Amino acid sequence: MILGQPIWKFIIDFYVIWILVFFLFKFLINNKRIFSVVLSVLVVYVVFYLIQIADIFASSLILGYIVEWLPIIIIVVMAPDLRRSLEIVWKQEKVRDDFEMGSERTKQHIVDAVMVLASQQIGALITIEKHNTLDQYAERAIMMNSEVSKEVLINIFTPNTPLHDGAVIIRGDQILCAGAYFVLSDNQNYDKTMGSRHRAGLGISEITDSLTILVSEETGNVSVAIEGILLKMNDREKLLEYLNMFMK
Amino acid sequence: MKKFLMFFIEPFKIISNRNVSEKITNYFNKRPILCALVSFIITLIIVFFMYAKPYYGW
Repeated sequence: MILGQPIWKFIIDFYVIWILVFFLFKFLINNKRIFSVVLSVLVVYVVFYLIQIADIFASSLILGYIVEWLPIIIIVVMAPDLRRSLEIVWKQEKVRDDFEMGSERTKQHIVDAVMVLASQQIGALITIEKHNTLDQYAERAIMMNSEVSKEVLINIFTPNTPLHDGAVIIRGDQILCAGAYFVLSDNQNYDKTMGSRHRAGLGISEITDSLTILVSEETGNVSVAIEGILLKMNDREKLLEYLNMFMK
Repeated sequence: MKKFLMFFIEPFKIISNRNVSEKITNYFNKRPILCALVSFIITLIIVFFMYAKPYYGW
């Protein structure tokens, strides 16, 4: 017996609550926008609690209304984010143990394609998967499962073709899919004029351990997004060196 | 007047510009085991308050 309850009941109770708390925690952690709102709400609740203790009349009354309506307002305002976070709450868990990075040939083809695209100022977004699976994005894109080659990559990003808008996801030596859409980063540290392609590359690098190569349509500049950082990399050798480090 | 107003507003601005939520989410997303550990601790606290509190009549 634990505190007047049979042990088996206590264990089941503990397990169910743990799963619920874990689900809620993952749900909040998966989306930083939701998490920041929840933090703000917590601050409001703490202020409300303190004001009630201090028995301050007007603030207590107004905050009381706010606290009462806040959950409904959040659900209405954050509905798309909540839906998305619910969708991926378990999917984010998937980490590939059997992952294999691309060969030397794959790296060469990626770098060659990127340099050609940059020289012709054709926008491109190439994401190389590592441990964290990108299946959830690939599912909504055009599956390809083709071998990585310079020609295919150039062809995908050629303007006015069906697949040129969106990202290519590379898994090992294969192009998993093309035309994938990522969640845009809302990092305030970067220029507000930064295009949606760069924001998408930055967004995926913030939530997964993937590496994204970006080619700017306007300038032809090559950048690499990794762990939420954007690095300019116009030099072919530098890019290859970076890929060698990443694709070990 | 501006300085006077800034004195009250600035602390909130500093807190919001620190991207605390972003740092926390990135930290936990990279360490899935910590998520389980934190939820375990929260569960312990919940269970403690739900079982021990009425049992001991605190």
